Amino acid sequence: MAETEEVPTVLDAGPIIHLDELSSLDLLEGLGDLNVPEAVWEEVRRHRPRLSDPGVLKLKVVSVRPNPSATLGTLIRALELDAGEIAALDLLEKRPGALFLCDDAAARLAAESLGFKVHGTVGLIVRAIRRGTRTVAQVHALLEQIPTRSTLHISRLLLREIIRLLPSR
Amino acid sequence: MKTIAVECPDHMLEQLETLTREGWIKSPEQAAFEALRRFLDSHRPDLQRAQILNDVQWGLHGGD
Repeated sequence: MAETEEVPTVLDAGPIIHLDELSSLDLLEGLGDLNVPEAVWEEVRRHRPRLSDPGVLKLKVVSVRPNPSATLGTLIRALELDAGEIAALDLLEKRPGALFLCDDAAARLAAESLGFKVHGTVGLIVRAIRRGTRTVAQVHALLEQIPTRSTLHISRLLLREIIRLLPSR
Repeated sequence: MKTIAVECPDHMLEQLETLTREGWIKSPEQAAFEALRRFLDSHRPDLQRAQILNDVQWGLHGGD
């Protein structure tokens, strides 16, 4: 029987930083190879130096010399994306079918415009219920901790709406 | 109209001053205003809300 091939994942800095702030890096499990461009990795290490220790996080740091398509180049300029986001999107173009994990609205907009599948920290947290790695109550608690324990900015109103969408405990 | 103060790394200010001298922009302040306008365009609350609610649906029902 053929094994299900895991789709590779390309990460921007946001989800790594935010999940580490929430002590929940394990929520990245089950997403295939985790590819991180060097520029993103530098940003992660600047914000979360402890992640430099080998073994804390299993990532594939990829050297990227951005050579974006014309369409991506236009989006990069129009949305004024930063070096990490540019490298991540460029890498995404070279990994057809890859999932992009990103919390920046503009970078997500660019990726979605190009037809890529994009999700962020909130999706990863909620996914833990589906995967059975956290209970609904634990996910509820993690979501509530976002404003105080992480640098992910999300309106409290939306957070309450998200919590209402969770299955009942 | 209100005034906000922004700390800008030296190298970025030098780039802005070069652009000003060469006539690409009117002033560093004008560039900062333009950057803010573009940021607000691409970080609209309705867009972010839609992206995050899409995350929730993927989290609950996605097939990864």
